[in-house]
Amino acid sequence: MNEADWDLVRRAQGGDIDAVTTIISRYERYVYQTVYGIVQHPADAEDASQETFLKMYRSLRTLHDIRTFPTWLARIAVRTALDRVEQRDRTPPTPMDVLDSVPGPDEVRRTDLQLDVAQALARLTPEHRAVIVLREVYGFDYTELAQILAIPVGTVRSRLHHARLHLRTAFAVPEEGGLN
Amino acid sequence: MHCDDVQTHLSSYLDDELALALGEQITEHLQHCSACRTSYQTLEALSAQIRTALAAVAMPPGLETRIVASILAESRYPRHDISRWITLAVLSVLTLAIILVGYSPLGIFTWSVIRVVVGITWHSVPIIPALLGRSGTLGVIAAAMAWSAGALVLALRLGHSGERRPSYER
Repeated sequence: MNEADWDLVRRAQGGDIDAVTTIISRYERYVYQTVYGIVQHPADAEDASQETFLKMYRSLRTLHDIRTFPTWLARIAVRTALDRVEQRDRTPPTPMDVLDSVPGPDEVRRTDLQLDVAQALARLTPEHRAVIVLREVYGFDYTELAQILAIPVGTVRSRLHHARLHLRTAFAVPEEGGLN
Repeated sequence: MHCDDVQTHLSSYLDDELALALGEQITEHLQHCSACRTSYQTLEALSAQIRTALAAVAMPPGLETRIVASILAESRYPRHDISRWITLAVLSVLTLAIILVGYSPLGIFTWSVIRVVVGITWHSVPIIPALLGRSGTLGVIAAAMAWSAGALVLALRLGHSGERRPSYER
């Protein structure tokens, strides 16, 4: 974030709707990818994104340090996505859900990768998915992850370790040799 | 350093989240242990795959428009914070109760007893009526009653639309 972004958040806090819509435009992908990685379902991700921005709009004035806006927004997105996963009583995501989100038939390789990743992520708990998505996609460091997820840094470390172990098993990448 | 120890720290090593000395020990171990090096490379590849796959997730068409529309609707018809109304109503009722207790015959009697028991000689109760006069006092009581009733009605009417304070604000 730079000074222009901070000014945008400041104006949005003051009730400037144009500033709010600009924020939505800039952070739509950020929020959608975060919640999608957790809920693993396009329709749920869409609903959770909309809900996240509504919560952001309602609570923007409670944000005291505007420099923390991205992590604050990520925290809302993660909480909203985890709540949605908890609420829904659906079957686990199918590969078709991932196919639905792919734009065209010319991206077959990408689709295969998305299918593999979706299937692997589906085996994780929503909490593990959250930490993986925030780390891998946005590169938040452990301190930031702890703030976003409201857990100790040690728990972040442990969740990432276990999530990656599960993913490695799910991908079943064969390893050569043995351990000493 | 043993392989088991290295495996435990590989994830944090990958994220560059280890203490310098520990990181250097793992770097050294990876240079001569092919099994651990393969594990590390697998984790690296896994991270890259997840990044690529999630970054390629297509945005649903029209999502931004729908989000903006919902925000605009919200800005025209703002939600009320039920907790504020409840607080207001409770404070109003308490204010009213204090006033009524202070001015009613029962209240005056209670104050008298308290003064006798505690031994206080000051007269707090007649001060306000003396300052405001009879009509002023009645006006204060009427305003307090109207304020309390209004706040209570609003709190009850808005009760069904209130929501719990979200966890990210706690």
